[in-house]
Amino acid sequence: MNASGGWPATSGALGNGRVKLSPVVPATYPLLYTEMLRPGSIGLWRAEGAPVPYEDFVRALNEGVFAQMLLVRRADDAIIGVVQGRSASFRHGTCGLGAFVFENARDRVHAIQGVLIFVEYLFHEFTFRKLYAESTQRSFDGFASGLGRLFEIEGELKNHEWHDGAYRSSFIASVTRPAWLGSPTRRRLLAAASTPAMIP
Amino acid sequence: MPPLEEFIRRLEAEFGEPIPPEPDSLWLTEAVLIVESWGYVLADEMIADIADISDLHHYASQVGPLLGERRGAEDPPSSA
Repeated sequence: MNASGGWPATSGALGNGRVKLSPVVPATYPLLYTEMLRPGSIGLWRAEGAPVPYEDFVRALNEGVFAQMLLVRRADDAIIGVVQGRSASFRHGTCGLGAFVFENARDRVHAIQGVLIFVEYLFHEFTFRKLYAESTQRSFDGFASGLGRLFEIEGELKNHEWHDGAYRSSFIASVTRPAWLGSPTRRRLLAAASTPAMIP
Repeated sequence: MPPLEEFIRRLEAEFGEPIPPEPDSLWLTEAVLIVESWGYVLADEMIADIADISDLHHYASQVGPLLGERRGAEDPPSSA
């Protein structure tokens, strides 16, 4: 937060005119659990699609999580996903990045904006030098266009995970602080966030 | 709003690379941000319905003349 207690107005942190990030509270646990089980949700989050008991889901929800936020579409206050920073290491300056987009999000544009806002939040508010995201092929297909201009692939685990009847590879992508700060993606995001017409 | 071909060309100039054959969610998200920076502010329902570049052009063509509100941004860069 800044000196006045609010989030920096020009950073884009925690929201723009389309999407805002809100803390995860217990009242949202049933929704998160239900959405986790939907086949159309993106990001095999935590239980990786398995119908784990609700009590186990709740218990595991905050394990290793540094920061966790709901993606909320401002127009209708619909929760469209969750983003996580996890396995943070302040010694090494790294943090894992996770995103889970609900099937009912209808579109991915709002959700992706929310994920980008969360990336900005992690780099703006903390001293991380690199964020890691492990992704299945299915999830990766949704943001592959950023390869080389926004993130790099640092590892591939071939035929690593069993999903939907087949072994599938997963990827470890990274976003470094310099890459993010210098990216046109960030510039576009902050331009949208700081434009008066985009702020309610 | 220019015709689709010119719209694509301007977007490619902004991205600095050709439009992918099948633009993914990240690419479309950034394309929406770019188009809105040109002053074409899309409704949420429109954004929810955008699946490809033609949809984006279609909806941007609708809101540009109707809203007529510039967000302090310039027009799409000229082709000159």
